[in-house]
Amino acid sequence: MDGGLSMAKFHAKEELIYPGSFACPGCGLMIAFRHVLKALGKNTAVITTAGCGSVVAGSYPQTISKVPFFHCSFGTAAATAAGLKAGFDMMGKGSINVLAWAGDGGTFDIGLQSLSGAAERNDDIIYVCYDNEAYMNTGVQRSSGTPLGAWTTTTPIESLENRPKKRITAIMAAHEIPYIATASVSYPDDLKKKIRKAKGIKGFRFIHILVPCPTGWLYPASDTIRIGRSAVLSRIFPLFEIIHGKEYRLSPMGAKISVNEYLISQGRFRGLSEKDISHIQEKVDEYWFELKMLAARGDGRH
Amino acid sequence: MTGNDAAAMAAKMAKPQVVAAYPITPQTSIAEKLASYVARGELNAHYIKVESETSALAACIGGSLAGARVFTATSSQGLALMHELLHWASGARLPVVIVNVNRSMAAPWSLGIDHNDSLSQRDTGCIQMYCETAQEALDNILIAFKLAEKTLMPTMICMDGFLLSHYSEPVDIPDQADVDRFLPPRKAKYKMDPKNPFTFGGGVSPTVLFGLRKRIQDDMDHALSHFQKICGQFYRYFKRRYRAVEPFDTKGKEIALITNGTLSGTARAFVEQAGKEKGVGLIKIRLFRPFPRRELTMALKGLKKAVVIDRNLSPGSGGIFSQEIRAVLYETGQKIPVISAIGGIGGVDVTIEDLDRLVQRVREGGNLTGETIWMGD
Amino acid sequence: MIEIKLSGRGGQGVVLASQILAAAFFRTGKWVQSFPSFGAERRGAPVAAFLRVDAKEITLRYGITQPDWLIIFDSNLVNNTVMDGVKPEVSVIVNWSPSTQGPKLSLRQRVFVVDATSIAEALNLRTTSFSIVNTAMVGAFAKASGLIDLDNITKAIGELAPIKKKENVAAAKEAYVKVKEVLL
Repeated sequence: MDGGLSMAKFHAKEELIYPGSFACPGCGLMIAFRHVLKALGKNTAVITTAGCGSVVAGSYPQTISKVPFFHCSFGTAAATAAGLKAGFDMMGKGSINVLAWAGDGGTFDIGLQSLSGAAERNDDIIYVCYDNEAYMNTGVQRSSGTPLGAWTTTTPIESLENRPKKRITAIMAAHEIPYIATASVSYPDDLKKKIRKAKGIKGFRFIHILVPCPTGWLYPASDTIRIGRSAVLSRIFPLFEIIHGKEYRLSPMGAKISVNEYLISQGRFRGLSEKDISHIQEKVDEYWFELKMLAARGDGRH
Repeated sequence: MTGNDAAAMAAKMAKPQVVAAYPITPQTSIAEKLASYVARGELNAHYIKVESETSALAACIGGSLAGARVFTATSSQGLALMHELLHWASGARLPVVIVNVNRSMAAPWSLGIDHNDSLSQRDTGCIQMYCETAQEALDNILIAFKLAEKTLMPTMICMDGFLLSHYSEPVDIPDQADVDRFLPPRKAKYKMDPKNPFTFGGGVSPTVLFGLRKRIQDDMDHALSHFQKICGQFYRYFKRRYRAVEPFDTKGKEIALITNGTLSGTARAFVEQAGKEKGVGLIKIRLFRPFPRRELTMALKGLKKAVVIDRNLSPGSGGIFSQEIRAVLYETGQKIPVISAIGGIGGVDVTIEDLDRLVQRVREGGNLTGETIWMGD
Repeated sequence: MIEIKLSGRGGQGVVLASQILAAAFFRTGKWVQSFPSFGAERRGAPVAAFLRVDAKEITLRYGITQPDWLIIFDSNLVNNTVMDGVKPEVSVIVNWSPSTQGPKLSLRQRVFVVDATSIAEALNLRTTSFSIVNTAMVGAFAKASGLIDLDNITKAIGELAPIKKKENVAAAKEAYVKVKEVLL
């Protein structure tokens, strides 16, 4: 199952972050980081790149990390992590989990070249993208992870985001890497299962976590988990795994609901008209159908 | 308005047709303001929301090749990602205007101000200017567009991060009609045009490249006089006078403080307060590339000591302005000592009291040349 | 030249308050320089904003460490680092609710208090996490300092308040009347 460790025991395990991060109240990425580190365990080294994930970890002389942690330049998370793992391997320390921890900006955009390179070489690292769907750290500017219709400071109300969210998992699948998964902070057991599974695989592993952000998505800080859940239930952010870039496996999710609940819960979508919302529903339904077809074909060998 | 607001305003008034910018602290409000202007129809430009700064400058190069007027803004790490393309734009003789909001280079991360980011680009073949106030930012950006298009050189306007970008102060906004007259639309002589096709940038022989580089140097020399002419035109329209080197209250003084950027403002306040008593005047450098040799030499006439305050460091060598100034004085035979002071790196405040202590140290005498005074030590 | 520091928490409208003050002073023909505190800020973290005001151009540029006036939006900050290193002659205005413990300040400072939270709450000026006390604090400053008149303050609020302009103006006017000096 999951290595014989019950979830209750798991939750009681030692934390690998100190309290007192610089995160906003209700920050989704801190929840994700906490679960990811716990699932990976102490024998882990973290490379993080520019973004909220770097800043919330603290400024000198403070840090939240109980494991080794390095801040690298913006576009190079995957390359830096690959180099770190290569170094560990050569020094007989190959058992150390090397985690590249980057946001949608550092993954979908400026870090895409570095990500693709490391994936194509099947570099032996775990790359986790915490996706809050915009450049949050610099004040909410759009990224290619920003969904259709969303407000950001560079897609203001007069010109809301008009491009669909980049399908990063499809891009990763094209590299035929051993393991890809999507996960959610609102489904912590599923998230931790996937991290532990990734931990046991060699090669390039990519986990994409949706992390709701009260500051940029414009909702009350206490709603983070609820919003993360409705993202999954509406299939705007479905949970699945991709094995070797070919076999899609849908993760257990509750019954599908309409996109309405998710969209009306956030101020960043207040510029959407009825027409926009039905267009979004259509697109979500299309994507969900596509995923079901992909899952149905199994490992794609017949 | 803040320095960033003023910069965005200038960029809007210059009517660029292609804007490509990637957000980076402390430039972000420039990128955001321009996005907002375009969204509201106040600026008729194609705004490319690029995924990195390398792409930002690459896109500007592309836009410029079409014959369009282009603009980008960045800072520190972002400017570093533009490095290859600054060389490129210069060699391709393209009039791209780049605003750099100065910020310390990582590692480690720092949001403080120093000039290492822009000074690291001094050899790329771009015109480079430093501003002190939000008014200067607005005015110098307008001047930059005209200068870049006249000289066919990428032009970088530097603004101190936070101390200028985020400080709010009174700014005189020029009349759009006057700006339109001062800065008419770009007329590109060479561009990508099927009706008149050219190939740009293909491989050249050593001799050809040698010639092209000599040409750039000659054009840089002429750029200085173009700058002066354009500043003259600017004065006629807007009644504000800008020079490559601006002395302040140096007559009859012994010591000249030489500064660039916002530190000049603090130095000015110091000279106003204590300059007479302590025999100190100020020389502010606005234009760094091309380096205004003659203007600096003239400004230093009659002074006994030059104290250069570098808000930068070339590790293994020293302050960059002091190196360049020393070289110029040696060339022109001016035998005054150039004392190198380094201050304000990382955004450390340089106050009037700090300047007073520095001047005190200099006046106490002793041979300080060959040493670098680290302010705050 | 006068130097003013505003101190509060992220989300309380400290920066907007400094912009309102700046606009008000600017209207009277003064030269104003204003700037926020810098660095990675998050909601709820202590933030500060600064102003310099003078009759002539202000050319110097660096942080303000010894303000003449310190406007504190959250009385909990008073016993925190916000009072560290201030000059003894600083004048302080604190948002102080009578139900909380009084601000611990030395005898040499002039101290003014106003219950800006109650004023804001009564006018429904709040976000989900904070009472919007900034306009009340600005009104209190105008009376306590005598450096700026209420009329210019209310005009600046009219210009800059993003919503509830009437309520924000009312808050400033009420605080102007209610602020009082604490005689220790």
